[in-house]
Amino acid sequence: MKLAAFLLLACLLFVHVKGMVISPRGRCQCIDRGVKFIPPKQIEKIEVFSPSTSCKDVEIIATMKISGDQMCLDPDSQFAKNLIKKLGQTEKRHLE
Amino acid sequence: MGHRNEPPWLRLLRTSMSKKQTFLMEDIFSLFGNDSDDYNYSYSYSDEESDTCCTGAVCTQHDSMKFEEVFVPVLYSVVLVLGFLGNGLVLAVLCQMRRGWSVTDTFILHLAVADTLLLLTLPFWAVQASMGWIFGTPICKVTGAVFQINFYCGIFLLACISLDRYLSIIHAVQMYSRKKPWAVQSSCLFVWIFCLLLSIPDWVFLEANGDDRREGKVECTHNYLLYFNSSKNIRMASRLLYHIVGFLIPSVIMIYCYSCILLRLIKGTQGLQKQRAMRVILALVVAFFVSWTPYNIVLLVDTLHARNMIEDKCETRTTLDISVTATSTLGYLHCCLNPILYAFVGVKFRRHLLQMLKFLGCRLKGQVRSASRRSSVWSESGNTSTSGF
Repeated sequence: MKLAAFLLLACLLFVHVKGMVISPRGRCQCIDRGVKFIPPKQIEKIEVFSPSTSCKDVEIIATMKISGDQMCLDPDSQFAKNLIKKLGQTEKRHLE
Repeated sequence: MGHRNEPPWLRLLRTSMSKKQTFLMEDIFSLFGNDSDDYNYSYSYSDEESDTCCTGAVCTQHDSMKFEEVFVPVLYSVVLVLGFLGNGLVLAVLCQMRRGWSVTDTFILHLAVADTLLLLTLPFWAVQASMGWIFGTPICKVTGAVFQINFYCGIFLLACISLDRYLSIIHAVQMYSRKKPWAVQSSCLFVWIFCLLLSIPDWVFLEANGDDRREGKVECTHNYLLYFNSSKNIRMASRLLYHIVGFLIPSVIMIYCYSCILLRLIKGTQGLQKQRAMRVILALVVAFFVSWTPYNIVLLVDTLHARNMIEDKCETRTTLDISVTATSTLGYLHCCLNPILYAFVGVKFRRHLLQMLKFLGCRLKGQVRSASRRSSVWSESGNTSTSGF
């Protein structure tokens, strides 16, 4: 009995139990991986979300010029990679 | 997803940035000119686009956060007032009759302390919901851990009470008696230590963090970012353990113990106090499940959702987030029911309460009927349970 209790306790600690009550309720913002390409002329602005407590992925959200709609860009796509390379170079000037 | 073979620059970006960064396309083009690759070679990307896996839909948390902002402060205030009133009365009555504590009284004392401590953290969560966590990381750790400890402690103590009643009524085993008061105290101590151990992750991981995905709001949340790469599995494992430790095991113990007692009651002699006892048991069990089952069901659905077994839509996410908030509040409401279900159902408690109220100058004409005295088993199961029915 004592051994069983001890084993249970050890298991619990091992996997880091936490109740879900005060856990991060946040989620990622993109429903899926995102589109691989958006014609640059249509883009008004790009927001790059770094990993945070609510989402472990980098998310790139583009806002469209005319409609104001938002769309996720797949960070692994070639287009996004090129874009981020450039953003990295402009980073210092536009840091919020 | 896609973390393992990421290029170094993305990894750098991942670790160096703590916030959202906004770039205007015009600025980028003005820097690099309109002859940049992406302008001229866009057709090559268009080929990539042809695979139709993703729509790129964005789902913000605006709606569920707006709901929380209103719902949490209002409902938590109600729970707080009701809970303080009930549990405060229980503690006051127990203090007054300091001598004649039975075994169940000791459990009820610990239950009331746990419920009160849990209720004490609610104002902090209410403030967080309306204006963000303004208290800093140390208070976040303390509040979160106190909440967690008492959340589990309350549920385990309910299981302890049912186990004690089961043993003394069905098996006539006096696990605890007045002769060895240390036995019941050490059981409670064990429960507290166990809950304290369960809160270790909270002491480690809880932090006050601003999150741009949640409109820049600072919240007291678990931050696994520094320690784990694949927090999804940890989240799943911990959730499974919550279901088992926080709900399934206590439920099974309670259902088994109380159904045995009910069966014994049905077989036994007829009588008023028997009906009363049965009603009390049913109320206990029903209250526990009405309070906690919705929350567990919502969490299960959320787990299925995270495992992609349910179609991922923005409405589904918002509905789930709102449901988690609403059903967890229903669970905390159980803290307010405990004093009624466990303490004031017993004649002894009501008698002492009336005495106390009279002493305080309140003229309450309550009558404690002698006929119902025998049903006081519910607050004195330790010694009178076998003769109670």
